[in-house]
Amino acid sequence: MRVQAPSPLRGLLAGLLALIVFASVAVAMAAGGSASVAGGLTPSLTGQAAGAATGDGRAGDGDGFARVAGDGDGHGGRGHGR
Amino acid sequence: MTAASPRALLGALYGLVLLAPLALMTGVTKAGAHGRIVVFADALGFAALSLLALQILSSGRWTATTRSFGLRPVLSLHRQAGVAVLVLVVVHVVVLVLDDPARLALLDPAIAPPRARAGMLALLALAAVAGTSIWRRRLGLSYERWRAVHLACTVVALAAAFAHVVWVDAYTSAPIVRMAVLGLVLAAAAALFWTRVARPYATALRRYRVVAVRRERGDAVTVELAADGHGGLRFQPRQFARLRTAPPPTAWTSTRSRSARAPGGRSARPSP
Repeated sequence: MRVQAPSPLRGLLAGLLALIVFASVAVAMAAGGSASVAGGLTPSLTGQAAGAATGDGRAGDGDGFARVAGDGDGHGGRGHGR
Repeated sequence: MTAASPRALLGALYGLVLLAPLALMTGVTKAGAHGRIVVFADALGFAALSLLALQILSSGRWTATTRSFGLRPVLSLHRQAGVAVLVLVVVHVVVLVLDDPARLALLDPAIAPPRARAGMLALLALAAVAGTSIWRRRLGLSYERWRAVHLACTVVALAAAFAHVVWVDAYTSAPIVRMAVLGLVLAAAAALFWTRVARPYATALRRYRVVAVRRERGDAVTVELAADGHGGLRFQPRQFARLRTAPPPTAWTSTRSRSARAPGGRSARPSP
């Protein structure tokens, strides 16, 4: 029995699909800008800011909470956005 | 146009792409007042992203670059610039942590926000690219497997670095910086698609038949190829083509109809 080699056309189509998906996501992210970032990050940031407010110290990574959730942890005010 | 002109033009283009995002970010005031050290670290990050995109753009064995500079210098630049990308990213992280040790928490994926996770993912992918390239033989990776890992990790690094920059949303809040970064990343993705997917597909359609195989002195073997349904290729002295053959699957009962393809398992496309 002869085994067929993988079709190069499949690879081309898969690559093309990957490129289209990648480009679409990249453009959407860039076009969304701050809005998409806020939407994507708000839950975790809110959670961390709440942690800081209750004094468990988990939010002290100084990565820009101030922009979103105020400066309740002493580091957030620096807003480094890392 | 003199022979040196294309080289100068390509060199200038390389420098322009490398420095353009840096030049654009200098005109943007980052949200929150930061010290120079943070801006310096940010600049290193932007330089790393530009250089990463240039790595993809310049490593595809384009006729323009290999004809102007030769294949070895292009590959040498690729290796050295690859190390530079990793160094820039590591220094970017180290400087930020030294500036504020509290940022160490951002390296913990359990509590880090998505933008920091994306940055760490990019760093890990770059480390994997470097590690598998330096220790390929020690890791027992075949060339084909190493190449697949190399490409996959490069894609991950590029995507994660882009997500990191956009999600940090500092300099990219300025439309011109955002569009420049987007354009750079899309150009790199398109180049990756062309050089690693579309071009191999196009050359795979240009098959060659093995006409004769002659054993020569020593370990040398002469393989005569004939273009199958196309005009073949033009070549000049000192050019070479790589012929890659794979062992046939065990289910194959005959290998007579296998066609020889080169280089990289594709059609015979000589590397200048």
